[in-house]
Amino acid sequence: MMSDLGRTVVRLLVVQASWTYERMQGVGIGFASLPLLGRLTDPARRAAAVARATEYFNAHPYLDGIAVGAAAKAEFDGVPPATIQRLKTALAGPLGSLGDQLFWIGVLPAVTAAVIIAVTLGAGLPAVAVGVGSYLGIRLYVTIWGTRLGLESGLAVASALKASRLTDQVRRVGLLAGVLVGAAAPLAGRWLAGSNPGAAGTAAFALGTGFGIVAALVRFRVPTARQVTLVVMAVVVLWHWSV
Amino acid sequence: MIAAGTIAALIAWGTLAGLDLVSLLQSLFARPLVAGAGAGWLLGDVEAGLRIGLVLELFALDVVPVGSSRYPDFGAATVGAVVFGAATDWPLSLGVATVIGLGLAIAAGTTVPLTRRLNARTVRSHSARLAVGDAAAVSAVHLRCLGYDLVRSVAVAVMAVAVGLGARGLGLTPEPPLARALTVVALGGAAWSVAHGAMASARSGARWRYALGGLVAGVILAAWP
Repeated sequence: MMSDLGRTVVRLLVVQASWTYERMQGVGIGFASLPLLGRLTDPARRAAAVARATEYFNAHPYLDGIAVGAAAKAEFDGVPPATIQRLKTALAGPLGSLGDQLFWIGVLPAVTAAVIIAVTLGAGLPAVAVGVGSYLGIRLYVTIWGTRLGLESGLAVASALKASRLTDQVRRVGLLAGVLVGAAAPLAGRWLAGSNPGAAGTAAFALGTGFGIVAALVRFRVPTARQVTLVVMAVVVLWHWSV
Repeated sequence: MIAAGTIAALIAWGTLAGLDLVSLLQSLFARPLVAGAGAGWLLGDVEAGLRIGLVLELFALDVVPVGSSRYPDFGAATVGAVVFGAATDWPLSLGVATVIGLGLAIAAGTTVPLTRRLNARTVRSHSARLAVGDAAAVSAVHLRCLGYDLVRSVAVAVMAVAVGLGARGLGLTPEPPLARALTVVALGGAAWSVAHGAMASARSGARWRYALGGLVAGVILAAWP
């Protein structure tokens, strides 16, 4: 039989399924909170807590467990509803920003770039499997750790989060991602251009890298590389057919 | 000719990738490199899966999947591109496979807001029960929304595999000069995308320097005989 914490963690893995522009993750947070809130024996208190849990909320999905655990602990402690609502409001922005910095532009590109480097150096399918396994491990660990941290600290979750030094990892992981993505790009270019299409492919890759860097440097509002690529391909096809 | 069992497995793999984008896990299954490698393995051509997946991955590295933003769905799209490109001469098919992958990713990405509208309708229809903390309603709404994304993911995977099979059946790889030109354009676009993504997310001076340092190291490694 899985514990309340275990069931909450499993539900947190699908927390964004009911995402809407109105409540954002609200219903998903409520769904994930149900096993923990089941500990409240008074039906009226439990219903009020579930209703609060399903209200508007949005943060990074990997760190939602921190808010779920902290709000549940506050409910167990009989904290006034307005304070619980303020706690969730106060957590949403920082957890969203921290998660985006740490995972979306840190861990995810770092792991992906490491896999790219390994693949281009000949590691093949096993490198992809190791990358997927490692990332899944991080995802699960953070979800379990965050939910426990929230449950243990309740209203003091902000101090507990600060003491955990998770925020300190943002800079380190960001720098690591920068190095790995930077190194992965030319290796990918060599692996893909190879002997065929060869020099033309290598030149296109170098030119594209230069355009990308300049576009980011000057914050030039250009269409995305996806759109430009499709348009240039269409032009190439039309030009080819016309001659 | 691809066996029916393999096609079913490709659709299942594409469905997992679609679910992973938003609803389930949000890990690496939706990433083109992983989706492509898996599709290549299922089709018995891991090399094609990795190469097509890698090109599309370089495009995907410029996308940050923040909750309310709209972004392409590369997972099943990559599966479709690999269905087209597997067991072909990859330098010739890579360009067309990239067109298929990018086109499918953009098209599949437009289905995410549709499921969100369905989610909103379901939430609104249960708002009275949610307001009183009805646990059964919370579970029903959430699981129904998960079902919408499952249907979306299956539909996107079927579409992607069908497009890949159709392009393969039509023999869409053009004659070598044009095919090579398209591959060259795909490589240039992929490089633009990953460089832009790496530099745009480098908000601090230190990360800029580290990214440029990594780039120099990568160039040296790539130039190594």
